[in-house]
Amino acid sequence: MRFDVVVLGGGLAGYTAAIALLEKGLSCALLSVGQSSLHFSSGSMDFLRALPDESQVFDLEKGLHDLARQDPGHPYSILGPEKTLELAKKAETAFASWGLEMLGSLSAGNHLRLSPFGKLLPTWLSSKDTVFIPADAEGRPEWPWLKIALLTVKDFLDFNPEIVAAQLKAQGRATSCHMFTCPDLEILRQNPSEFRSVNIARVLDQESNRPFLTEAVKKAAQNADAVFMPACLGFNRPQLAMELSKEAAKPIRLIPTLAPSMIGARLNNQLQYQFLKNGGVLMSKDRVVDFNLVGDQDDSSGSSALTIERLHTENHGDIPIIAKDHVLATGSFFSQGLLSDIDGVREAVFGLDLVNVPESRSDWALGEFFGSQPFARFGVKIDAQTRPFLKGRVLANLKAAGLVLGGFDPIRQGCGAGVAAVTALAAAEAILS
Amino acid sequence: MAENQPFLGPRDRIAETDVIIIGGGATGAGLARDCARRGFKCVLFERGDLATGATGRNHGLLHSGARYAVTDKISASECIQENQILRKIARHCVEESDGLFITLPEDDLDYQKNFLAACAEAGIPAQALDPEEAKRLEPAVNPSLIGAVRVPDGVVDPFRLTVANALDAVERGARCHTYHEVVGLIRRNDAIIGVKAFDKLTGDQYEVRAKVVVNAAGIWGGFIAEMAGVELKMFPTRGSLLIMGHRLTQMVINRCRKPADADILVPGDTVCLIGTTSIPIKFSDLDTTRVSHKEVDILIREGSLLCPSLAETRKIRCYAGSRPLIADESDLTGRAISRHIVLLDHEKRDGLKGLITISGGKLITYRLMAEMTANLIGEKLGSKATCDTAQTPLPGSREAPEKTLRKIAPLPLTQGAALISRHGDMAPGISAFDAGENSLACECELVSVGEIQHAVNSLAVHNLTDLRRRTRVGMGPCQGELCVGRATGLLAASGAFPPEEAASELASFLEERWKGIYPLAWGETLRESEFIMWLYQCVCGLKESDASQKTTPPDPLKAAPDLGAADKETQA
Amino acid sequence: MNPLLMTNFEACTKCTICTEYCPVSEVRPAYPGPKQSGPDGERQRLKDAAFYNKALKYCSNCKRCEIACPSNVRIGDVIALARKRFAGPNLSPRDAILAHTDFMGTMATMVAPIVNYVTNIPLTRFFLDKIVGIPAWRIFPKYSWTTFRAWYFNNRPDQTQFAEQVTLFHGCFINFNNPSLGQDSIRLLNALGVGVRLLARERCCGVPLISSGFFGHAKDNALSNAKNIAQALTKTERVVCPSSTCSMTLRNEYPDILEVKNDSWRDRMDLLIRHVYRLMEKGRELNFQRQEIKVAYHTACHMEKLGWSAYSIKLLKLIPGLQLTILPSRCCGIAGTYGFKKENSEYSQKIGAPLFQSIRDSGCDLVVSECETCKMQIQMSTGVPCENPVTILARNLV
Repeated sequence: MRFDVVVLGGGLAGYTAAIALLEKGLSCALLSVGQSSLHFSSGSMDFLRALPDESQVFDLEKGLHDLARQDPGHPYSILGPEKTLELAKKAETAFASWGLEMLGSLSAGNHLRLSPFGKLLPTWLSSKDTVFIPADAEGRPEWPWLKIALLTVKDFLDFNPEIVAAQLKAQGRATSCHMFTCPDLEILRQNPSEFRSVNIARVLDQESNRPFLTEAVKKAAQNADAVFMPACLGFNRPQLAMELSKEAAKPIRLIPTLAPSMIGARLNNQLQYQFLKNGGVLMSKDRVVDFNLVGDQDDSSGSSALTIERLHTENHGDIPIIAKDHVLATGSFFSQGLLSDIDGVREAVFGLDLVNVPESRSDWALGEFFGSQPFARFGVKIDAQTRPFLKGRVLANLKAAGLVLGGFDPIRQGCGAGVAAVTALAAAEAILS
Repeated sequence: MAENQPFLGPRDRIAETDVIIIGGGATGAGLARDCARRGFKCVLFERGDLATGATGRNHGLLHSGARYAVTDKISASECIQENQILRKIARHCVEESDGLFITLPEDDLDYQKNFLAACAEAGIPAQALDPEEAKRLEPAVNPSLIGAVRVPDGVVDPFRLTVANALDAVERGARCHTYHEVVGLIRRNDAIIGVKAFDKLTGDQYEVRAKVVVNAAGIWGGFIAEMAGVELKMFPTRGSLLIMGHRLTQMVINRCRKPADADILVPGDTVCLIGTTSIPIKFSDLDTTRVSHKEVDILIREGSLLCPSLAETRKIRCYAGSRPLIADESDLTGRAISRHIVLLDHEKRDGLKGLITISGGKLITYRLMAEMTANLIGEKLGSKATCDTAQTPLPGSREAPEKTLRKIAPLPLTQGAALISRHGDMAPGISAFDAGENSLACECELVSVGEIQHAVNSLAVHNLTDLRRRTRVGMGPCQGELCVGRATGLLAASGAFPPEEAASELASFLEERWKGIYPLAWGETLRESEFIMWLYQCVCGLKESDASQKTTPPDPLKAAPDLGAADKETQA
Repeated sequence: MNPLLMTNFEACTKCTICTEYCPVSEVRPAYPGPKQSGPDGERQRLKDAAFYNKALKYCSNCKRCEIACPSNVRIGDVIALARKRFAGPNLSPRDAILAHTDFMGTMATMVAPIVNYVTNIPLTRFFLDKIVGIPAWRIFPKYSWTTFRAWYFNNRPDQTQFAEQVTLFHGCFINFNNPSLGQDSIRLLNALGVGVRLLARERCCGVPLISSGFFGHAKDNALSNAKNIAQALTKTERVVCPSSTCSMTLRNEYPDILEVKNDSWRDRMDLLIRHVYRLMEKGRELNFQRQEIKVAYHTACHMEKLGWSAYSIKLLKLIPGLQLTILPSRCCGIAGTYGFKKENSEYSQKIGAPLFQSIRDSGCDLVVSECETCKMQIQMSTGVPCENPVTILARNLV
């Protein structure tokens, strides 16, 4: 099967690159080994939360320049702060045009999102139905509301309103906790293990359950400036929280829950929808098992590039997938873009050159859970055109994007989504040029 | 159901009692039970949670004694005797799995002959099997084995066993105070007449007087002796173990050779364990329960010889414990270690009245150790009461599981089975009246909301780590992923800690779990670790400052620098 | 058991993503869900068989959990194997009727008009509903008067004129209910210059037997088919099948669930439409007439598992005038014989509801799917006709 571009990986980076390319008229197939880590995300996109010296970032432009000094191996630094800024602004426009209704912007700097445990965290973009709290230049929250009602679903275990309320109280908010249920939820409740956010949302999104929802929301809103709910509604009806806000005449906002994250899954679905709408060919649950390189394999100078001629996948067997260009957006260990065993770490598809992998296994992980884990920085080495290397040689028709890249710690620095979006667009640009 | 309702409280204080027991391991809890059943008033003080020392940090092997048959006849006969007793009194803590002692080509088959003879002598039923028969019984065993002997080894859950003993003691009027550290002994002339206890949950310190104080603090007993001004020579030896994510075998697998490193594979509950290494350590390192990468390599290498698929099976956790080995007092050089039960009457030994030390022994001989100690206490108290602990089933084992299962019939069968395997006949006391209570917080180990509430209300659970020991929350392959987030909410709602402290409780738990995971960070375990870190640090926003903010209950390590402390580790 | 599957479950990171994609757990509280039934349950079952949960039978074997899983856990296979190991024999006569499609087909075809009449008269429906447990509103597939095989051997166009030959695994549905799809298959292959043979003996692939727990019978069928396929491959290059479900079963379920080895022929057993694509990529040509029609493509569950919908989509786009919409990939709820069982039927329709809505929303004239039971379900539930892409391609040949 022939395509202009084959994208490996169906997460934020893969879809972003693929849709950007489809929009330029290129034919595009996307392979994924399973559903993406978007399903566990907060649903907000973090761009840069903290620098390697642990200081929090609110002015993102300044943050990028500081990062370039502190961490020259970071993908943002490899692309350069100016290029990164340009691409991030492009990403904001692209996301908006793809129907991802997000609040926040690079120029406004980080705002704050509310975590499932009530923590306020700096972030770049948040879905418009989530709790969005502006921050001042020092990162202090500028709360739009004083009295907050927390409304949860009875017996829902993946969100605890008391814990969030305690944190909000520490923020000087007056909080009250409420819960509700409805007969359809009670039926779903019978299942000891499947009372999860997305399943609940599918129930609450039904028109027939709207009266219960409206009543509960109105009641909770009575003595409050705003109502916060765990994100278990609005999966198939993304406008639901906004509609409820109108009915209750108070803002109704969602807080992400423990996995699965309804907001993250919704983002994933929206990207997938855009991809298919633009004519992309989705190959779910497939993986590259073999590939063919052309070029002077024995070039000892290492100056000439190699080219991927074709890929063979598990599902397609003898029928090769042939593309002019390729994007590797297979993610990190969790998404199996990087593989490890007791002896070593490797990039899963092509065995590309990695950065930051220490010799000894005992140096992969720290003894402290809350530490910058060395393994978080493992990943593929790229140049400023997002081209990776194989034994020191550039692969001419391969670009790499997202968490498969090395040189940064998405967990400590809070930059996973930003790196995915920016490097994906950089990869798409490199292909289009 | 009321008579089935177990309760580990209350925490009310008394000023005077007959017996004070220091240490809430199997021996201490067993002794509290024995004393209470003889009618002695007693208080047990444990500075952390029950079973946090050597009791909870071993294989959980219900020794048949076969392992010691050739080298240590006394231990062998004690083991087989207690093995038979525990099968009767602690049915819900025991799996009657049997064990194989396999001979590999590199081992000497002559050892098997000695082994069989020694077992016969010690009264251990041992049956030599044809290698083919052994492979049929246990398909995962190393297929190149040249000999196998079947023995009545089994598996015992040390947490359940300790809790069941404590529950029986409390039922009989004893007090069992966890998170109470003994910070001093009260001495009058030539007698110990009480202790100073520090309540870590409230920060209060108070005195309790007693006729007899028993030092059952395991390897930390040396510190208690020091407070009393008597010398106790102990030799801390660290043993490390590795937990695999699921069962590879149904039987315990041993090497039929002189006991050595990493030659016992024990299936326990849903997991299996390989261990142990044996490394002498300094007292200052007593609380370093981390396992080195080198030890991990040894455990995998040796374990794969017992069961080749172990090499590829996912490792979920490693942990280490310190054996309470004590100097053999009959050896004048002071260098020899006693492998046996050591019961010291300090009145006879040091002229110090009112203090007894019980140490040495094995998890499986805890009851015998308690009986021996209680006999001595009886002498001192002038009591003629006799021991009935060998005949009387523990709470949880008083009724046949089939009968209990009928009482909890409305529960889904799998959940009922899990509940009974953990709580035995106490399962019907756990509320399961509606869908909310039945819903699962921990899906790996089938722990319901009702079970967690029960643990908080009745089983002295004060934090997530205590909960893990009572219920197995966080003991499955995910080592506390989504379940811990849910349990944090439930514990806050049940009043185990205030919601303000939820984040720090959770962060401390994650930090504690990580100690046993990071040496195994490769493959699926690394994937899962990345996921958990992403979830709790990025999505939920927990930080190291949350972990360090935690004040109640304090980490025993930090709270008691003078005593050193046990980390809250565990076996499966 | 397949050694690969022995420890595959331990890759589960408990991320719960499978739950989100399970069409059953969404609507059916009694089903413990894929994670609990699969990897979580497996650890418990390894400890003690008492942990086997009978509710595993509510799994429809759609395999969407496996497709979603980011950890490669073969959740559906783990569940199917657990049922095989622990469930015990299925003694339900109703299940036997539904599962033994080839035996029932052979009997019914002999008296097709009577069966077709009888199965749809109210009294029979009442009986089937109340006594047998097949809901009254289910429309039974009509049985054909003659089987496809009989037609092939009596009336087939001469196939020996083609230098190149393939073997067609037609499956029960073509044979007993829809011989015209078999005829379309021959027409399409002939147009590519390929002659069509049949297996010396073909039995039901076994998928309805597997889903109703008749693992022994399924294995007998698999062994027989494996032997016949191997034999056929000595004479023809490939065995092809228009049905996604039969293809998935022959390729995947034989080794993974039934422990019938197929590695000697797995790569040469293909979905018909994929082989058509292969031939065209090698330079063979097909010419299609123009047809102004709005078509919606439904990715059947087992098609999703095979990962081959791209071939059908690419080929359908070759028909001039054909307007193609790709429906969001969702289970239609029938899952073979699953939806025919009364205890499942309510859930079956609930599962399919979002798909039916998206079919109606698409405004299509025709739904295309490679699965025969999806066809029945979609036609019955939406009133929109549903055909195999082979039919569309064959009927638009110039």
